[in-house]
Amino acid sequence: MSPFFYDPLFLILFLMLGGLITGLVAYIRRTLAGVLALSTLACGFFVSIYIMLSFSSVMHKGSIISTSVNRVIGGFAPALGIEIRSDLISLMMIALVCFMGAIAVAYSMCTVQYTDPLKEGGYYSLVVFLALGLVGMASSGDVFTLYIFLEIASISSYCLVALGRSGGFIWAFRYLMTGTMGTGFYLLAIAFLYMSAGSLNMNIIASHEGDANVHYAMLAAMILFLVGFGIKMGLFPLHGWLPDAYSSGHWGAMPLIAGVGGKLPAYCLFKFLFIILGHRSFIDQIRLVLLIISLVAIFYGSIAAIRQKYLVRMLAYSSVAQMGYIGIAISMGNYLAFAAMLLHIIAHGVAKGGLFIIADIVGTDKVLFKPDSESNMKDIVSIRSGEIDNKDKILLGISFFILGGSMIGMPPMAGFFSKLYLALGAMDMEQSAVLVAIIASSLLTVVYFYRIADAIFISKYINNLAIWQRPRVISKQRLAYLPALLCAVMLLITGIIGGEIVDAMRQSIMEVMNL
Amino acid sequence: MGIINEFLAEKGIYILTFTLFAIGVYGLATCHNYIKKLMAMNIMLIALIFFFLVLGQNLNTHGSLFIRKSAPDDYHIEPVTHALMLTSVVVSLGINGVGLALLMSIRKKYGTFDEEKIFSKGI
Amino acid sequence: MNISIGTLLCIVFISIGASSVFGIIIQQKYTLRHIIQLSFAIVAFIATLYMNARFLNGEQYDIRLLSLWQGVGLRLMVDAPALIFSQIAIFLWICAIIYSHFYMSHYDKHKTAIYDMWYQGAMIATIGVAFSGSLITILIFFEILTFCTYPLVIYYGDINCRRAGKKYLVYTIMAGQCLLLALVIIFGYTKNLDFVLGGLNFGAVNSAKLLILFFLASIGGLTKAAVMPFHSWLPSAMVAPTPVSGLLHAVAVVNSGVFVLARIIYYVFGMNRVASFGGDTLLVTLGSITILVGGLVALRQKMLKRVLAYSTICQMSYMVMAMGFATNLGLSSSLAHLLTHSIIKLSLFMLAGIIISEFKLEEVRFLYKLPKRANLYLILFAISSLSMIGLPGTPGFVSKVEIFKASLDLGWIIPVAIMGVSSILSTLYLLVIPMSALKNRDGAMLDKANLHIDMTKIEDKSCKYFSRKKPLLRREGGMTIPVLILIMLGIVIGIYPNLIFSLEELTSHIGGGL
Repeated sequence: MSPFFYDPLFLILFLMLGGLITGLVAYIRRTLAGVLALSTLACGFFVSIYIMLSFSSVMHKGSIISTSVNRVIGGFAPALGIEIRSDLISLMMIALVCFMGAIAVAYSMCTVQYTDPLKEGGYYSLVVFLALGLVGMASSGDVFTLYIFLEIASISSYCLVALGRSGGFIWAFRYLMTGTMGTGFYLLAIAFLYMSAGSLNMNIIASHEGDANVHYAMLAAMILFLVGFGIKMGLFPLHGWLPDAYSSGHWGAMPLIAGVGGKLPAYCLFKFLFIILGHRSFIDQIRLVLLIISLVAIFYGSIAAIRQKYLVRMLAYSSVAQMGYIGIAISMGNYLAFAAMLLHIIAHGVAKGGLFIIADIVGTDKVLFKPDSESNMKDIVSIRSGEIDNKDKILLGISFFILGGSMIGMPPMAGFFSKLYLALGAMDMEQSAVLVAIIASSLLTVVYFYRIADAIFISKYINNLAIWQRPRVISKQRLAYLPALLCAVMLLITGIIGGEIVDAMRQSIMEVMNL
Repeated sequence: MGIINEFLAEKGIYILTFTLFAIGVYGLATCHNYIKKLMAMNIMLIALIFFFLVLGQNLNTHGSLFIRKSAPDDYHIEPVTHALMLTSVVVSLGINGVGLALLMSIRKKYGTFDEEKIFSKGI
Repeated sequence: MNISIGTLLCIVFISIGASSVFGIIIQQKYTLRHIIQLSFAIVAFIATLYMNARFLNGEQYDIRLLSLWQGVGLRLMVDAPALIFSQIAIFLWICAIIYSHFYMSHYDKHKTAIYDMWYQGAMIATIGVAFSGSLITILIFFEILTFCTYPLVIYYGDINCRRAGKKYLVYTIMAGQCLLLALVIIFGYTKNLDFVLGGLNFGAVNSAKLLILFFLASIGGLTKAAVMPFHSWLPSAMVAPTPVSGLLHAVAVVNSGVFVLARIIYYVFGMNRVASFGGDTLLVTLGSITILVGGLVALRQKMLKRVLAYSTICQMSYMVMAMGFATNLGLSSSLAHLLTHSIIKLSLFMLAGIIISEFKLEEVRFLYKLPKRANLYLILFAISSLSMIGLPGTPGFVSKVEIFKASLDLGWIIPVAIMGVSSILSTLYLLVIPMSALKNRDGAMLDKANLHIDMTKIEDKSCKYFSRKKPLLRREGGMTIPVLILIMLGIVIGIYPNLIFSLEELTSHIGGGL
């Protein structure tokens, strides 16, 4: 493993440097800052994919090389030092984060920009820092480093929400308050873990045995983790900040915040539940609680989404429902459910990011549901092709079809396969309530996605999308549809090779399950 | 009486710390004034810092709380928790900075810090 | 040339895929696009014919493409039902391309490009359903078919079309979800989802559970095959353009439903097991009720396309009932009926489309207003109706006789009686249309010389989808070509069926593994 970028620390330092330089460069020339941010994130994506491929090819060759690389910083012994770790699952998360970050920056470069270099440069470097925080959360090997990167990601997303179009300072402030409360609970949990295991390193905590006091301390820690990460990811009763924050965030940051920003805390919850505290006896009860909460979350999210009038709030409540899916996958606990969770993280992250881009193209302040009762064929057929470009409509249509189809669960997109695996995993564990919940919520999802499709494409909205009224920044405005299309392509690819991905990660998943 | 003394000597400080934490969380959740919310958030974070420091006080070696070395002359304060809390202080600095900047913008836009007044005026 | 059957399968998929890619790329040149699509379709058809020849020589094929989890994956397989379905689908698709070229020629070029794109997508999905080798594969293509046909249903965009589209979507998505649920449960019992002749190994599951599981699994197929009580999307979907209604809703979509049902009965559960837990009674009952009620409802319909829709519902249930007999002959007679019915129904729809789009008449009671030059179409309609009813010498007779045989094999007279009653009803609702139109001619208003049709003189207000600016006799002639092809093919099948397929060979191929 000689090349320098195999070092798990490389990506973190690279993104950090990228973020700082981007912020400074914005004062010189704004487009250059955007290009720098885009290239940083794109490099991160390609590097992580390359490392993933070389890890798995190394595995397939049959040689016994461990699939994870641990690096302890500063020469301290693992019990005391910071540990950064990269294995296949975390590399996949890193790839997802960098991809969505690149998409987000690409989209915002195509739309109206702030004239203030501080706001614009600030936006670019904040996006890179958000990506940094998420990458660090995926690759941290000890509990406190996780806290640091969690905070980096959270503070960046508070600022990005505040930079939104309609000046959502209030919602950003409320998001800040709620998020900090979550971090507070997480810190408290770290304290309990530290006092019971003596070290902050995840491996050492996992292998620590102890008496009854240790047991209770870890139980307290687990409950606090559940609450803390629940706030961060938007699990059902703790989701109050989510609709407001998603509705008023910066349009070029929502793919990251809404798409991926909730997934990394979910992945960390998964890590805590199974790797660190997995073999304790109270895990079964915690999983039961998580199952119940997630089932309620799915139905609550879907039904609330159906009742919304605004497009982005509908998407936000849809995210609440999808977090319920991940919660169910975590609580099932067998191999198929973990595969479902990973695929769902990819599928929903990419799909939700793309849908937020489409929502911004359409116009986030539009009220969707006063249907035109007299919309008839004449309006659609009599559009002369000079007025509104048909290619725009096709691009928007195809992207929405694929992205929405993945959310509904339409083959061959990745969303179908994640639902399928989850259903199979639930069948394995004899949980028929979960099966019914999955199928029922698919049907509910179809209802509100049909409404969105109806409102945008079939009524008259497609004739005056918000993006056609904004001043054009790049002469080819069609470039603004490209990020959504890229998301759609990624969904198709992931759907088709989803099985291969899961098979390649089989060893990592088995390590997690201690089998 | 001796038992209560012993209990308070060992665990009393934790009870006070958790009370402080609870006050912080309560204020964070229920205050209408944004400045007060921010202050309550700070109280919560400080309670956490305090909890860690007290923890360090009570561990007489860097090992688990529940594995006590029997020799009391080896007593020293746990340095790891203090180092962690230095980091945490810096993080709360960042959060406070962002929070205050947001409050400045809120004040400029709405003229008041009170949530009820802002919502009744209409966002 | 010695091309293996696997290569031929690839050729089929690639040519259909290529035709859709070209459809998207060439947006402006209408005729060029259709010529390219037609040539790819002919290539695909020749490939399937060749595949048929090689299959009859004894060559087998199945391939596992993507592995989804633990060895289960996407599987394509070539066997007798797959070949029958794919051949008839591609052949009818060729006719439909020619027909829709002329039918949609007065539309906005861009909109027709989108229409073609979805049409190709639906064809890919249909061929995928035909060649599927496992339950998960067929579910995937089933759902793709749903989502490719939805934009075609709402093509015209007005409020009726949207309502019909919503109804269609609700029915078919629920069907897909039921199939998904059944798939998961079947996997839980059998740990294997491939199609195996004779059924999968269910172990010792009790009959009541198996019956419920069977019903759940067949809801998917029954909905797409428009069996009552899941049938009402089909008459509503007649608001789509006629090529769509014809091919997709009377030939591809409903045929996929019947095909899925066939796979589930014979290849997932196994015909003996289905008979053991009473699934056969269920299907025969549902089929019989649909035949009778469908026939009765068809008598009351006013719009031409809705009459044809209910006729489709009725004929589909012939196939469902035949499959419900759970014998070898049941499956092969049902597939034979699928073949003949598709040909006849598509020709009927094409004729209906000519009448609707050229002469702007949608309701049955106004058909007497047709000009003299429409005599040809009415006569062709009469010929096709006779085939549908089952006159000896027509293709419908060939397949109905087989279904009779299958029923009498089991000793059940009631299905025979029901089919007889249904034939009488078909006469009443189908044959009566051209007969009465030919008899009660009122040619004074519209005659040969006057090719412009005056809108104010016609009272049929239901037809509002066309705004034809100038008469196009060439268009009408063009649309007649595929109709003539189909009717001639029908006559050939009716007189000498063994030229096209041989029922004994089919039965032996199917019954081989049992």
